Amino acid sequence: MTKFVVRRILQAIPTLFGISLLVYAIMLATPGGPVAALTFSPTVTPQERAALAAQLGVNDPYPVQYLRWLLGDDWMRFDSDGDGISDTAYLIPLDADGDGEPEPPGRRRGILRGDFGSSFFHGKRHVVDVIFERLGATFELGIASLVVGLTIGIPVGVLAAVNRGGYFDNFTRVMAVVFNALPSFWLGLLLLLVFGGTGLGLLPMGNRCGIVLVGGCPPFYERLEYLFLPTFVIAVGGVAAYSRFMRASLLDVSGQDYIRTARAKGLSGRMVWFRHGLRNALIPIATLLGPTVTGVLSGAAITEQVFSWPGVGRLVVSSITQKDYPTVMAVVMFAAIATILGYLLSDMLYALIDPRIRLR
Amino acid sequence: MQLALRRFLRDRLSMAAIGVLLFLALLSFGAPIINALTNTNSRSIAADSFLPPFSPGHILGTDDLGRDHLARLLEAGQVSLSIGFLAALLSLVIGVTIGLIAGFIGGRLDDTVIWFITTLNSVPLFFIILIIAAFLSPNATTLILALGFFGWTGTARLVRGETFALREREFVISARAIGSSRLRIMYSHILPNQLSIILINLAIDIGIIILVEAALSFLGVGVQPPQATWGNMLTFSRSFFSHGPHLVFWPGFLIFITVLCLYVLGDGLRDAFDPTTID
Amino acid sequence: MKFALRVTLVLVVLCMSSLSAMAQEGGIVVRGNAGADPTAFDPLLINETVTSDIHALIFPDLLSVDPATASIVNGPGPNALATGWELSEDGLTYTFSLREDMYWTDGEQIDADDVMFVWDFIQSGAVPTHLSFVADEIANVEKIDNFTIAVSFAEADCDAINSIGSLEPYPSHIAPEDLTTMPDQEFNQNLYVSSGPYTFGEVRPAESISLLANPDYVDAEMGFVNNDAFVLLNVPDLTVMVERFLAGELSIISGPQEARRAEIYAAEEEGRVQIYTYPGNSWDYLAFNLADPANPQNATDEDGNAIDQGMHPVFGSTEVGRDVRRALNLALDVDDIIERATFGEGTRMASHLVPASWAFDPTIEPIPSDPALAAQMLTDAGWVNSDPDDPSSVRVCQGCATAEDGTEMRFVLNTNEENARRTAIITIAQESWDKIGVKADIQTLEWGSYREALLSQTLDAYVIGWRNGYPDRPDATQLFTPASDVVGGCSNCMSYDNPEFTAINEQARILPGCSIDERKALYAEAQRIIQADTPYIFMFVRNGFYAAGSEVNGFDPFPSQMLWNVDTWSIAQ
Repeated sequence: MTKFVVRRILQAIPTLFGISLLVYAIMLATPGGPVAALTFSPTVTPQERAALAAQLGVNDPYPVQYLRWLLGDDWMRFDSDGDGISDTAYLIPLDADGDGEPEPPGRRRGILRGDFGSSFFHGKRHVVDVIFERLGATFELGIASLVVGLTIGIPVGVLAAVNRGGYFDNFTRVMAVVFNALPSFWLGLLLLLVFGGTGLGLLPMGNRCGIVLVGGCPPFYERLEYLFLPTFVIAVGGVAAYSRFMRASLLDVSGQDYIRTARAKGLSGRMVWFRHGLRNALIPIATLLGPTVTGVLSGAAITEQVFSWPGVGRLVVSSITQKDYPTVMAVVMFAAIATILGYLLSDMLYALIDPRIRLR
Repeated sequence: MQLALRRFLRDRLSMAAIGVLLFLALLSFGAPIINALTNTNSRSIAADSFLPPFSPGHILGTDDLGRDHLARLLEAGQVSLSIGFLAALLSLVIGVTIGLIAGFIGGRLDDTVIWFITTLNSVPLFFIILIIAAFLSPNATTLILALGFFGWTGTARLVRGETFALREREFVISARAIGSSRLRIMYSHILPNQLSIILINLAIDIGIIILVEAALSFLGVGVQPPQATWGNMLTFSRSFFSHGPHLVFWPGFLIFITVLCLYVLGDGLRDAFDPTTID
Repeated sequence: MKFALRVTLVLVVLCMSSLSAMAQEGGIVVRGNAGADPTAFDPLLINETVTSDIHALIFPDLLSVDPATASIVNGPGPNALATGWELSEDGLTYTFSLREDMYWTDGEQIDADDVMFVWDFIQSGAVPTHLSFVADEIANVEKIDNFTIAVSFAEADCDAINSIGSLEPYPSHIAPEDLTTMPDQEFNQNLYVSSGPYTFGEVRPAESISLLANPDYVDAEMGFVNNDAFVLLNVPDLTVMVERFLAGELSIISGPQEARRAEIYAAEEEGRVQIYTYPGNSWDYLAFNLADPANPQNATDEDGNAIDQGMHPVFGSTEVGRDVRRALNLALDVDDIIERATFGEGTRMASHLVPASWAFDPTIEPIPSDPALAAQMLTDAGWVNSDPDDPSSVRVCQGCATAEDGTEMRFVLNTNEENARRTAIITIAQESWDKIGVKADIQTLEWGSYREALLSQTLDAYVIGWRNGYPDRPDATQLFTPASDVVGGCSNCMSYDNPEFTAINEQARILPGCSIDERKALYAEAQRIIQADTPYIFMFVRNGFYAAGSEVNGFDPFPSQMLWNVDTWSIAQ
């Protein structure tokens, strides 16, 4: 098992490398770039803008810029004699803006050393800190929608398989697509209007918990009503996927020899379904965990916006619309890591519950 | 194949879906004719904003600026359906080509393709599209290109897997033995056998893309007005609940019914092509 | 069945406020904010809408502003450190005496050092700050003694006092030695020292920021802060924000979407909410480029000599083409645009001064709507319909003053994306102009690209807006003088240049004695010149709109000042 995990992590390295290249390429293709995003005020003169560009290093060759992001620039331009003025430079000029003075020593350590840089917004704080304080909320929503998706999706899938071709099967077939055919922001808004204070008044209309002055939100089981609607909106995708998947899987299993054998032995229909069929049919569900991570993250981008949920999804949207380059790049890298972990976890789960599969 | 077709034609739900989709497409792309009949267009501004449906001269009423709602919906339909269809088609062409070549040739090339697909799949596609839409000015063309160039991985993976399996099958081996070129084998022997994947994916992808377009509009980075799409009409209409509920209903309903039909169609195709389905 | 907001109060807060507040009525004021979600707060470093709101509630001001007149008062005022000023004979130095009864929440006295620190910080340039403009306007700040400071200017400026207001006291005793580390200090994340009606509570990123009633607030109108706390709740979606206000989850809302105001008025009819409206201070306009967009030039070279900027083929330059611009203005029914684009929630403007400004001249009427006259004027100016029988056929130049004969009257009208109001304006303008043969191609640009294009002065015509400061300054140096016409960094990006206007504007700015009436007359003349030159089609100022639930007691706003008396508010349970 350890061997397998290590190997999979090693395999993830080229993938992450590819993502870093992809993210960087998209950023480079952007008109204006970070300089335009940082110098927003009309009172900034073209000279000031040019100086900032030199400082940020956006005039350096692209590979150098990529290296800086990856490995930092504290080794590209530094102070070797301790007088606080940089005197040595590799790859980049000592005096980038051409004013005759060397630029200050590089301070960035690069993403490989955990330095994703400072956000352009959020008080110029470290991007990693900004992301970490948002993770909890998205994690909460993700787990909740996964649980809801599984607890509704699996029984529905089983019943549909048992009643194959019957009314219930057709009904679920339609319901599975009906909720997913609505734009999710629209579904969210409609639910909010129906169940919120201006409608039936049954549920709160957003945020993670009620007004708390000091001390943070209470534990989640004391504020389930706040989780209800956003979870539902994200979970409809899961319910549809799991129920269809479960139905197909169960039908597949039911055609296999050991089920026929069991039947031949004279076990009752229901016994066969639940004793033998269900257990084996559940196994492939584990493979859905990886895609679920991507689903939750994309779903969160919209749902968190509608329900004022303080998670990563909203951070993604706001950093993209604000052109907060360091945050966008970091968030995409984090999303990729989360997805890769999701796939890894689902492979491990798969192996743990299915004796036929051995990890190599 | 013929069995599948027959089965598909007998699926009433799928046939109804096709009917609805054709009807919507005809309406949207026949907008000039309809406008001529109703004597309106999507640009001219009537004296009254928020006219209710069935007002004289405006079958579905007018919008916040006083433009004919039906004409706007039809124009938006052209854009939304085109984005959905063209983007899905583009990603399909890319996906099928790459999947075929990777699966058929295998080896180093296949490894590279798999690496590339894994890489792209590790980031939620929605984030990539969001970045591209926000950083480059969003319009119908950039959206089609972005969705097309980044949305092909799923298809490619399926096609590659299928090709992998097919290339060891007898008819391919015999085609090789008689000296058919690789290209020929791919096109005349392997591709036709992938028709089911292609059709199913096309239907589902168009639906997904129409939803993505609406989601991007909601986040403010979709196709921008005055160019109308169903997505941005729905987005902007959400503040008009009290002024003109019809402005909220129609774009939402059209997206819903279109996507629903596409999903039902995809489902129907899958059932029809599924060899395990008992007739 | 209404879901009651679950309110968790920390005991300490309750005890502390109940000690000082014998008759305190309590309650929590909840306000929604749609914009950015701030996570850094140092008032010297951060200046976003939400953080400024917070600073106003937990930090003292230097000067006192009369909320009713929006003017700075030479005298004491609540939560203002200065008790008044004396102006030197040359009109260049203001000497302020400071109060001796104000303390930071950690017990440290607020004194001249806390003001000097701000000035030193601005001058040090240690960290980029939004206050850097203060150093351009103020020549020097000097500490006379612990409770006296003197602020001097290089030239007399009637609005000088406004820039002094930016020197708001800062708790200098907690500032680090090395100013460059200020962004990394704890104070930037948690304003643990303050002085005002509230103290900083807790930040839950992207969700809420709580401010707690300050039991030691010296200037409390009732002797104590009448409510328990003020909470800013982050609600990113504007539609949801209005719904949550109507549902009672938010106690106050400011500037909701125009399209939703009808519903709030309806709730007022039912007695569920209270509303206050006023002519606001953000205004939209349609600007014409008055220079050659193909060859953008600065107004002057480095030595101050004027540069020939050419003229726009349709709109001309400041002197040439006034008739064409006036005709384009006449062709639009701006009142109708206000009705459709803002649901009637806008107030028509006649010139660049907002109706709320003290220098606003109500006798200047806006340019009316008269499409027939507009068509005639265009024809007279040498732009005639290509098909004489079709008034909507494109006009071509035949003896016009700005372009070669045969040039078609076509241009691009831009605005930024994601703004339904401005998109409506350009859509309606296009349609109205189309009827008299003026063909505008309308385009919305993503904000960053729009800004780049605007600053590089390559656009034809564009719709955008300004938001005036508070208190308002009628000076138009930034808007309409060559000094602000620099390619790449302009605020007079359409290259308006009328020496007469520039002179009058300057005269009003530095008028010896600063007589209000004389300045008013000068600004009225400036408004007339601008209207006659028509560099902008003035549209409307967006009406300010504040609303509070009926449970809020004490809600009594002034223009741009919803919260001036928030310490007396209470929330009925």
